[in-house]
Amino acid sequence: MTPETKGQLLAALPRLRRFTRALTGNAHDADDLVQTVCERAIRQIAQFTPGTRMESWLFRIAQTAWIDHTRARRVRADHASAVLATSDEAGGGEHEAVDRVHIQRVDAALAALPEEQRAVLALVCVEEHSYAEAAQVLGIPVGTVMSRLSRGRLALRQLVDSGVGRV
Amino acid sequence: MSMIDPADDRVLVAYADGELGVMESIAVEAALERDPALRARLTDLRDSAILLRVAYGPVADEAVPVHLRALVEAAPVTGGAAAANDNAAGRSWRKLPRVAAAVALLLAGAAGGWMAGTQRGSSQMAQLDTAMQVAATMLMQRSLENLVSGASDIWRDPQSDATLAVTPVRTFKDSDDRYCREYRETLTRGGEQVLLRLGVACRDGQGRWNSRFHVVPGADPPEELAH
Repeated sequence: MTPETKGQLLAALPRLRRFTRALTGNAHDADDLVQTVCERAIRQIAQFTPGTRMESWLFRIAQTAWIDHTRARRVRADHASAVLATSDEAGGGEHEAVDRVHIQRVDAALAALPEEQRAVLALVCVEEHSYAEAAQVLGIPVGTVMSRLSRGRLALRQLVDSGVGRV
Repeated sequence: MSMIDPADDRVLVAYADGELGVMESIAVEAALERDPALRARLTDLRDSAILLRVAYGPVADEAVPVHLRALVEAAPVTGGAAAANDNAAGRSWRKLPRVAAAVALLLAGAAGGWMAGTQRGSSQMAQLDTAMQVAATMLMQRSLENLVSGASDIWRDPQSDATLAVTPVRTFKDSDDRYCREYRETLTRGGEQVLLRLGVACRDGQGRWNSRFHVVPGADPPEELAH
């Protein structure tokens, strides 16, 4: 790869870590995924079109790799519901300030959503991609982005509701 | 999208995200005006996006783990002056697994940048005295009321070298037409800056900024942050 491409790849790492953090729901899986993405990106750098957004290309690789990974390990769904149950217990009810929400609770809520909704939420809400950009990264129509996004966001709001109060 | 249905959640989410055209937005706003249930759904759609941004936003501000940077830096570069480095890059590439393992060991105790920063953040917050907590509240009101997004207002503790800073990062209107702002609060002490919290506050009719919610990065809820 050219020195410019390498510079772009390095510069995209913080955003790639943020995207994978939202996608996987925990810091450990996120950085494992970043490593996989970097290795694939370096190997397949010829497929990157110079002048396009480096992070969108990386997000697409990340999404594909994560789907492969979760298909290989079906245990995640069980793990997610366990985390959700634990976080409800650990929430501490009345002792917790009503206006506070923890990243773990958001993780747990996201983990309860179908994988494809999660990816759209991470791209649009966290990475601030437009609907058209998100559709391109995921290889789906804009209408599908909209339905996954609306369903995912309404569900997420319900899931974290116990931890989030409106003052 | 000439015949849009404003009650369709797909249309509503597109409205919330500014993805609709002017005519469609006007149609949605008319429907919002007469339908309280629709307004409630719009608030939920917006809140969930804020929640995600506030929860995961700081990850991009963390230092990238050394082994991940090293992985990219070791990739061979083609063309021009950089070709001379190929050999060295190849060697460090092969050495990488061992380096990565060493780094992983180092990081194991800290559980990554986010947690490390956080635990420092909450222990720092625990050390804030009452005067500083009061100052933090006043600083938040002042910053959210007066500053443009991206600018910071600071308060320096006369007793120590500690400095609190509040930075509004984004402004939006909620479905009750109130102004809301996302903000971040940091503490600098002894040359080291830690993130105390990220939050959203909305302005009431009296010009007071009330906390909508905030994220305290970290595993354990630090009690001293409750107020």
